[in-house]
Amino acid sequence: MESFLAAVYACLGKLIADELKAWLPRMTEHVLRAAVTMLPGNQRERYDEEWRSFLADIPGRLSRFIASLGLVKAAYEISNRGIVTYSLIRLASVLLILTLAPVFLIAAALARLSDGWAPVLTNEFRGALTDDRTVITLVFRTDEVGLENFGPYVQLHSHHGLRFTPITDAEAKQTERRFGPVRLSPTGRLLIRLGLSRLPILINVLRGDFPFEDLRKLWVFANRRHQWCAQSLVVPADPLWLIRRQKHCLIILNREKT
Amino acid sequence: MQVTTQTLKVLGALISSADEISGADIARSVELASGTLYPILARLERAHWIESRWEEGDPHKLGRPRRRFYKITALGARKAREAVNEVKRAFRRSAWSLS
Repeated sequence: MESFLAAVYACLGKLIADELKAWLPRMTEHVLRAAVTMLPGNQRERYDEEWRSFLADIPGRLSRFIASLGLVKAAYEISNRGIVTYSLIRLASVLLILTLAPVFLIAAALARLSDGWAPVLTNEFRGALTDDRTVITLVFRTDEVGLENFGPYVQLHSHHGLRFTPITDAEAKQTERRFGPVRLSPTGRLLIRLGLSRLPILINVLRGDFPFEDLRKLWVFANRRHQWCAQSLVVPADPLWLIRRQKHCLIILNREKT
Repeated sequence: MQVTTQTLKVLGALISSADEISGADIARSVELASGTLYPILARLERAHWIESRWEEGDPHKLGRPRRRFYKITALGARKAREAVNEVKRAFRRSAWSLS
């Protein structure tokens, strides 16, 4: 019985190997063509020939087929489909904003009721995503007022040339003491508890405030905040800055009057 | 332009190669997959850090598709050096802060 099964497996194995041998070049050709089709019209001819020569230099049908799959990824990146993806994301953000409009309105109304005429939205600065680039996102204001207007972070950043310097936990606490603790407003507490305080990021997305790369990283690091915050901290030049500690992260708000 | 470790590897392969070098040769020397290599080459070429040309000869006579050869430009070599120095500086800073 065992020898019979072994013979069957051997026959099947050979059959599958023969099939693959016959089909792999054809499949490789199809994948290559699909990759080339993804490219902009003026680049197709070049990459078609270049990638054919690239595949011809790879020994083995299976390796060639695997390499051709990689070319699909290459074509996607070369054709800058990130722009297309980002447009779709922006479209999705419009739909989300429209869908969540009642939530926005209720949150804004609550903030107005509890804090008077203080701005409902504010800018939140997020330090060093990877290199020295920063991201500024819109958030619902969650702290108690008395802070007049929040100016856009960008202005201070460009005018004052803020520096990024590593900071220890003790230093962070010291800075916090210097500028006073952050008191959450009742509305703010509610928004944070409901996980809605960062909802206005959709407006940033809609406005195209971030490069696609940053948006992707924000998404990827959404649950690993310390990775993009712990690295650096803006040293505030004056008490126009509000520093909020959240776990491993220091969030900095600009209190400058506009 | 953002210079990643992989970009540095590609630039390194182009700098260390005495002559022009094809995509397949670069892939072999830096052990990068096609999906990673070609976008890097495309970006570098757009930034004029490298330039490329077709292999001379008729594909029919060669009996295979022509290869595309890449070589680094003076600008690319300068930028690569700057990037390497930047990495070294960053490494030194990190090492210093860890000590």
